[in-house]
Amino acid sequence: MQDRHLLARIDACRPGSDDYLDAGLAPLSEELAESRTARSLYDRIQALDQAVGQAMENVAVPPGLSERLLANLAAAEGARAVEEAAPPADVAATLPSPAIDGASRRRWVRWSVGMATAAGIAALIGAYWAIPRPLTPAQIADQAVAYYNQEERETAQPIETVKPPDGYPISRYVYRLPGTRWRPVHGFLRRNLSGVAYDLVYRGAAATLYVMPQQSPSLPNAPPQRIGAATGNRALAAWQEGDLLYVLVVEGDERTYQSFVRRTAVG
Amino acid sequence: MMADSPLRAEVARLVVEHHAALYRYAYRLSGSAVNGEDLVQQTFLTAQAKLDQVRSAESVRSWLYAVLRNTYLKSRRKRGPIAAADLDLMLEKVPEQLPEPLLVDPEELQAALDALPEEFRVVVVMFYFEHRSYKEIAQQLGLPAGTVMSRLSRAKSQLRLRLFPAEAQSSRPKSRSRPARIS
Repeated sequence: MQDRHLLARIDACRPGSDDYLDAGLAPLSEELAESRTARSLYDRIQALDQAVGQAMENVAVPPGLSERLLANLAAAEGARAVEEAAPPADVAATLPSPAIDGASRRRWVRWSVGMATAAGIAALIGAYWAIPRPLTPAQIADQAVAYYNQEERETAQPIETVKPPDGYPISRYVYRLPGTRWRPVHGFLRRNLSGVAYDLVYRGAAATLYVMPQQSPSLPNAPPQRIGAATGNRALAAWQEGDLLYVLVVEGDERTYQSFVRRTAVG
Repeated sequence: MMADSPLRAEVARLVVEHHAALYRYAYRLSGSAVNGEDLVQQTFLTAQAKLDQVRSAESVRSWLYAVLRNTYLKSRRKRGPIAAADLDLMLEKVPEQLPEPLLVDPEELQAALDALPEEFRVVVVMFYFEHRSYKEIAQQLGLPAGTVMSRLSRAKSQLRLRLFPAEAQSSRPKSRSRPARIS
């Protein structure tokens, strides 16, 4: 049985940290230096923690969440503005009575109703502008290539052994290829979009398919067969299927691109 | 207009930058998409009302995590405390051989988190998700450091038992569907 105090000290160390040097965990650093068993236990727990930590952040974000949050915040702000524009109870109590000065009170009521309405309208308009606008196809292409260029793909996992999260399926227009790997993706298109990327290989040619919960009305609802000139030996297509945005980046020319894309949808 | 107001634009930027991370954190804590979204909404409502605090925070993300966590804990306290006396203690043997590749199913992880008592789950999520040290966790939760170390180790033991069952079974037979309880 492992020493539970040693185990607790090791468990307190964050993966990849130098927490084992923490004075509060003494004599852990000495134990690790002197005992091969302790060192082995430490290494195994660090490896397990690394795996758990990665999985911890692997949660699919619901489509449209940021839009809903912004709309609700704007509504709350609008309600607050209306509340603030209304006369407080103690102020209302000091208002002159209609019997004494009816015209003055009517003016005040008109003014406060007008202010409340204006505040509500301002909040609603503000909410509209605060919601990110859809990107144009050209912006999507530029930002997707920039994202693709700076990505690390080593963390991808084979779909045969690890199921990707629900809600991010491979497009009906893209061939299911053996050896396909997937990985979570964050910060896509400079919009903090999160989704899944599938890394595909066909006859030595590589491609990445990004699947994001995003509405881009300017995009076609299927990948084009002809994409024109490829840029930097990369071919790219973006399309919309339901609530999902698909972006396919292919290492190669149009012909290579076509080897990944079906002519008609499947399923 | 909201976007023309620096304050409103600031809130909108907070949402765009942090909503995904906050949702993941909320989901891991609450184990539910609906509750997770509610928690994120509550967090941003608090941020909207306390923008001065957000601005002066050393780390905006940490401030938001703390608000979300406190909102969650407050909502759970309303349901009454956990009967800690009923929980059993179990320490397991760490697998000698690690599986290759070392992968964790995100859904299985959630099931394992859901099986943990509340006060253990919060500690372990802060450790893995916020990357906080046991001392920082103790400070944030107002607990003695030794209590946090103990909870962390027991909670992690349970996660290991559940997530790496083949290895765990070699050292201690147990059912995956009925994780051991801890105190």
